[in-house]
Amino acid sequence: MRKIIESTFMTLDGVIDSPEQWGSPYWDDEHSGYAEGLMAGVDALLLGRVTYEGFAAAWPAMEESGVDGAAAMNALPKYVASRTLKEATWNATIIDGDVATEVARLKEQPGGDILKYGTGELDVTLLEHGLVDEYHLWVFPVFAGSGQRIFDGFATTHLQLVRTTPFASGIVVHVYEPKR
Amino acid sequence: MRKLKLQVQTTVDGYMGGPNGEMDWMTVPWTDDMNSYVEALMKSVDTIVLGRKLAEGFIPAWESGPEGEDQASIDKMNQTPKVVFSHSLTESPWKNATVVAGDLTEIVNELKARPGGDVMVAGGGTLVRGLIAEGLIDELHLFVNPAAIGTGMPVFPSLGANQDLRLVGARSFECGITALHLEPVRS
Repeated sequence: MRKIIESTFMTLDGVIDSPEQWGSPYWDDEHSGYAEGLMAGVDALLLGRVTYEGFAAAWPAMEESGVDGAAAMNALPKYVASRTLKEATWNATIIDGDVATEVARLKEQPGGDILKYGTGELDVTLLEHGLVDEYHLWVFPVFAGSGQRIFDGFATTHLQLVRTTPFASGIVVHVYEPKR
Repeated sequence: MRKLKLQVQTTVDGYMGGPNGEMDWMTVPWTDDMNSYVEALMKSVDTIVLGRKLAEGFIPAWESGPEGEDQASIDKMNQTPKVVFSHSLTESPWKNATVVAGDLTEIVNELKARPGGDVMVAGGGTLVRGLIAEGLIDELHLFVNPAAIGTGMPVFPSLGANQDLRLVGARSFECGITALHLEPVRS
């Protein structure tokens, strides 16, 4: 069965918004190497509407300016969970029915793994239904003090640590699975 | 000079306790690899500082010799002198503890200037955020437990700007907890 792998950048205090403001000093070769490794086994992306809108606006231009990996990113099929979106660009299909059912169905289809970027409302649903197989939480050595936090609105959730990978820059990627 | 070391259990999402200080998300028991790591950290420590609210639970809990803790750890915690920050207490109701109040920076600098081993900060939230905000902590040891709680008591203060730290080391233990050792970036 296809796995859903979530990859999220966060601060030490769990803040996930505006990563360009706190994350960019740490974006180096080790960082892009890990990101490429995550993409390697993946043949689709799953995104919430907010992340989709940000990405769809940014990535086509990044390909034009020759950013590494942008072409591959743009070419991947995407699935966007949204109750409000009527049409999508950027090679995306809208999931407008019951998200848990639709995502479970996607996982049953033949194909590679599905990578999910960003966290938000969609994650609560996915977690409740045990649909995410791996969380890759990139913990940056910085604290923000305020901002949107990962797992905001979640009830207490126990996870299983798979491994941690520290980078020379100070980022530590924590990989967790749901506790079954 | 003595170092001020923060040693705190946290959730994946950066909280040191639930909204009312709940600690039910903590992984217990620790595995031996983590016990030895914590023991090594504690070796240089000869003073523990903590906030009054935490002290009310922490000190009696260790005095009662909690189950699942080995006698050496219990003795170490009980025998180490404690400094309790409080605005409401004038004298210590506990053995082996003194009560202090006043300017955080002055008190800590005075404590650090005395001869002796390192000073460990055990919590709670108000004291920890105050010490981080004032840049008084020399080593941060965050023990990231494999649980998320969505909301609670943050470890880090809100300073109105992002604050970078330097990662010294990261180590995962068999029980699923990861120790992050960080230092402030001081110019």
